[in-house]
Amino acid sequence: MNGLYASARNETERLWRRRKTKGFALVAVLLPMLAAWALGALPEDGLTGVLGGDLPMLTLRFLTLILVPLFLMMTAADLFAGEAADGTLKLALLRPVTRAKVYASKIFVLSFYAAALLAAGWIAATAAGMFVAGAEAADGIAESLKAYAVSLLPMIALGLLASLVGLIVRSAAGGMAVMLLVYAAAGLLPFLVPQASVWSVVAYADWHVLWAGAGAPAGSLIRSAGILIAYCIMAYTAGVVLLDRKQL
Amino acid sequence: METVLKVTDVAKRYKNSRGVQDVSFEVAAGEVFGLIGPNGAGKTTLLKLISGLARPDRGRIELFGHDLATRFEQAMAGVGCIIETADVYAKMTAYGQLRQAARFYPRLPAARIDRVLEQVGLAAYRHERAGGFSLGMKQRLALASALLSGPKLVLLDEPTNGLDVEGMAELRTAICRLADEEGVAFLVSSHLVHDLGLIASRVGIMSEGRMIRTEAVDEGLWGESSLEQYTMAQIRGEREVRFG
Repeated sequence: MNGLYASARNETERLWRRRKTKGFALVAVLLPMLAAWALGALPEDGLTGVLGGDLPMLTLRFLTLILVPLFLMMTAADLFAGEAADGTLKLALLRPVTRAKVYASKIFVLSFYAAALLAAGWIAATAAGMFVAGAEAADGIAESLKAYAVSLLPMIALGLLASLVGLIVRSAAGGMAVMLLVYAAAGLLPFLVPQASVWSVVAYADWHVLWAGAGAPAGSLIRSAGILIAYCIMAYTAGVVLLDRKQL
Repeated sequence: METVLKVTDVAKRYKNSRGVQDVSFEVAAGEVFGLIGPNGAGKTTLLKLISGLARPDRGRIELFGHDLATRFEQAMAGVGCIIETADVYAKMTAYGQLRQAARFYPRLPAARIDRVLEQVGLAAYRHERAGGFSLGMKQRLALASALLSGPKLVLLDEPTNGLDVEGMAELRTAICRLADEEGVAFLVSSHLVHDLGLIASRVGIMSEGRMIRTEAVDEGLWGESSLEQYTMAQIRGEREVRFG
């Protein structure tokens, strides 16, 4: 158990030291604030109040479609392909800790920072929304919190799939390129083959809309959650096997 | 003497047909075992297999009586390594890297980090980022990381790479002292046969993936010739037997 704890703590520390991580956190916080500032500069009318109250949900769309996926792809490429290429993956594997635990700690840190980005974005967007729309924005806090919380699941699934790519390719830059191509292709897939969208993880990035208001029927939520969890299990298992077989 | 490493009929073949074949040997506590042989002989592959970085196609590796394949954490608990290159986290300080390594050994006192940094001569650079270190300093940091946990077996692959003359002499002294006084076993691979001859109690000569001979250094088996000449003669002899 100590090996897993030590490995997770080390990964968390190393990731926080990267400028990219701090940069992503800064964007997650600054973006809703800038949006609120822009809305505040507009003439006072009904639209400002509506947009201000909706700021957390607008921010969430940006976070789940662009910022968090980009962070997950860049970080997964660095954690697996990048560390294998620069020899630092070896440093972790030469310690008394199994490869399965090293993998678990890397997935933990990816998920942890994805959750932290969502949390930072929610806090900033909620505060900024209140600044623009006043007390009206407070009504939607519980609703937006629920939306942010459920958004973590598709982000974890995306992180696991990005990790798989990171384990297959040989360099961080190559990994990032492959991931961006796959992400763009998966984003376009529902437009080209609508019936395939149900199988695309990317199509679930905004599944929080299913939970908004009265929400989608329970059966639909369970089916969507089941597909995401199944993706997570398959990608995690494949990742463990790939890292275990990796020859350094 | 207790056997700390037991390698039995280990084989590993890469796609380029290189690797190791049917290698068996043991290393006892306090022994300095030198691996010598030409480039491509399989020394680094063997060290990778023993440290778990690569998996053997067949055979068994035991560290402190634990099978590496099934009890990895227990097997590696008493092992320190430098394999192939002295890799470091470029953006972390020397102290930060060792603090990360120390987390895997919960009973390690915090003062141990400072002690090993002093031992390898990096105490003055403890708060500098390793990315700016010279090759020799990186090698010293890797050595500090390998010795940090107070291992009972240390695997060193070309440990003198990048070290200056003083560093090489200090490394030899440290290896002999740890082996004699603390019973630490060393498995050292180096192309500097003369250097290995100064510290090894036994050597294993490798050629084309095979361990063709293991000899005790102090038996004077090579008579008037040097270890280098003896090694070359053994390798030539092996090639003649195998290829005519």
